Amino acid sequence: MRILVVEDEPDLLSGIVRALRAAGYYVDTAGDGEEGLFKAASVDYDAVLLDVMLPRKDGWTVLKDLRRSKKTPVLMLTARDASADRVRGLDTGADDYLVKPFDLPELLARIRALIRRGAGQPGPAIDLGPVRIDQAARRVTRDDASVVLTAREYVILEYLALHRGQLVTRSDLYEHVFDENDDTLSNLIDVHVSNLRKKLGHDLITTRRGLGYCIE
Amino acid sequence: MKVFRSIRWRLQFWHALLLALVLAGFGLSAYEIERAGLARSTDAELDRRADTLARAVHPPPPPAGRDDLPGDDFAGPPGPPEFHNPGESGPPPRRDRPRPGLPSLVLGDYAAEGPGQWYYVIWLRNGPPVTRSPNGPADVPRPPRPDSRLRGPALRVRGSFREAFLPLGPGDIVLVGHDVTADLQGLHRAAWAMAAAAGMILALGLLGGHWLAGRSLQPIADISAAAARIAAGRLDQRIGNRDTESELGQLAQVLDATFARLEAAFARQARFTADAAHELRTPLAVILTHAQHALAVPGAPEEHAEALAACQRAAQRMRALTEALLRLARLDSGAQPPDPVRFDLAGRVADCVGLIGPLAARRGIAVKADLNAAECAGDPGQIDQVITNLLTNAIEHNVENGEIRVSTRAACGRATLTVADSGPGIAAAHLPHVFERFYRADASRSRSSGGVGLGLAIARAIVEAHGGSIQAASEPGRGAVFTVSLPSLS
Repeated sequence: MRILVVEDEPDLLSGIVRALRAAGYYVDTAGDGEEGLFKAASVDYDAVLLDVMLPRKDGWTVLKDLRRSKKTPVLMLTARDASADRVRGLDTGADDYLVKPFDLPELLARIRALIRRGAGQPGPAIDLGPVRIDQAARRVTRDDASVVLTAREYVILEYLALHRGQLVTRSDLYEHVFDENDDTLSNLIDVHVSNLRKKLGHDLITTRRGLGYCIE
Repeated sequence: MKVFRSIRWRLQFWHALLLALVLAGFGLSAYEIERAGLARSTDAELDRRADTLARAVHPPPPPAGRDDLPGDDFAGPPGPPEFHNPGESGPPPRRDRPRPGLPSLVLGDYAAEGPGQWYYVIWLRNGPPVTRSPNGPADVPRPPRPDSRLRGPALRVRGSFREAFLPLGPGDIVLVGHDVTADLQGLHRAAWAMAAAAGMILALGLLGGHWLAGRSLQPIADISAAAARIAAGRLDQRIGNRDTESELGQLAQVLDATFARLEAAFARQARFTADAAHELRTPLAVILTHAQHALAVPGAPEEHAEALAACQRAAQRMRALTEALLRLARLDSGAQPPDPVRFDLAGRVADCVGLIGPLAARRGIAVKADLNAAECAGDPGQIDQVITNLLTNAIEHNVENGEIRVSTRAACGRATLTVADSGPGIAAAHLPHVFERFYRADASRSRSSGGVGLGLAIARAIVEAHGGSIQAASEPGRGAVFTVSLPSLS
């Protein structure tokens, strides 16, 4: 899952990024509104964390401009807690609203919910027959036995499961399971998928040759 | 009763009282005039009748030279023949001719019976002592002999009878009376009718007064209602009186203007509080995020050190902010600076430039000082704060390797300090606001670059507390110039 954080306070940005990376997300950052809008409009993020008070272009404008092209889930982050501000944020197209200072667990839970809703998934658990994914705990079980996955493997599985029945291309996966700092070789995805098949069964993920992967 | 102490009820009360007095005065006058008129016409009629009767009883001598008229030789005061009482002693009138009785024309005037009748009584020295009309009261006392100097009949009032009597000669008296009961009854009826009309007028007047008082007091009710709404916290409420001519309309306008200023002041205060909260929340979020992450995820010591460093920066930022807020609050409370001290502004500036030097040097900024002695009075510590804030501001808003020119001079009884930077300057649209709290002229400037947004606000508060003024001027692209002017003598 790839997330963009737009925040101009460097210490807050570093704290959020560190927490998100520890939670298994791939995180891009932007320090002002213009950069944030550019990145959010050019990459399909799974979620965007957007501060309201930003230099160059404030959060409202970024959100409005972004909504012209993308329906990426957006969580507004602001120090203003007047209900008029919340209403304005939600009416402008924000999917959620969090007031600073916030608790990290709440932020992470809201991001999980945001991504889940964005993928049309009603609950935190995804049932794939014998394989179950608990998104809240980031735990995967096969026939009720816990399976140990690397972070990257988990994210690829989660992404495919959230887009169950859809074809997920390699470039989709690259966009969502690597961030701008990753320097990887293209065949790494195939290695991760092959490892997933070994751990969870060969029938779970089907390959559409030349197109991508799919969980039926 | 509270309600009767309201202006409306007092107005109503006085209005009613005045109206009642006017109506009573008018009614009483009308009654009196009517009564007097009635009495006058009754008296005139009595006079006329007494005269007529007197002539009938005792015709006056005809004018000289009119011999053809009967009775021209008639002299003395004889009565009519039927008045001659055979048993009466006294000399019979000489050369009297029997006369017919009182003329029927005269008698007809006394035929009416009942209330309001006219009657006569005649006392004669030579005739029967009393002759009376049959409709009169039986007990009419003989009037005293009137003052002979009086011309015309004398009047007396006896109960409900009004009588005029006329002496005809020694012992002869003609009296005409009138029973005024009916007249008085008519008068009373008229009075009652008038009282009823007055009552109706009073009622109408009270209704009108009530309406008028309500109408003229309506603006007060509007003002009171608007004030109550405002007091309840709805500061956007206005009286909205469109009548600008009347006194109350003008009052409403003045109050509306006051309410608008009040609302603006409250809005400013609310914005300031919200801004302060906002400025405190971001460092709080930094601390919470780093601390919670460090506690939740076991990390390398260097990662924890980074988290602690971030927390420390946030805490220091909060400290700077709370100190600035406290300083502003003290300045706002209007606390007077301790005993003003005379000092040289140039010396303070030199000290501050020395202190701020390393900060400027870090960005390669050169500080050029042109300091001339300029004496002023006040709190040197606070003036140091002003100088430091202006210098810090000039460093923050400067370009790398730029320069700052500081100068002091004394002129026209004022000590002047100018701080000019070579930064990007301030756009004209922002210039009037740079001294506002938390106002950031440079929207693109990240919060990470330093100040808490109160430095210039504090500088202005201090300078104004010292009776001075502070101004900002700028040509975009060519830096900004801040000028502080302090009175030389306190």
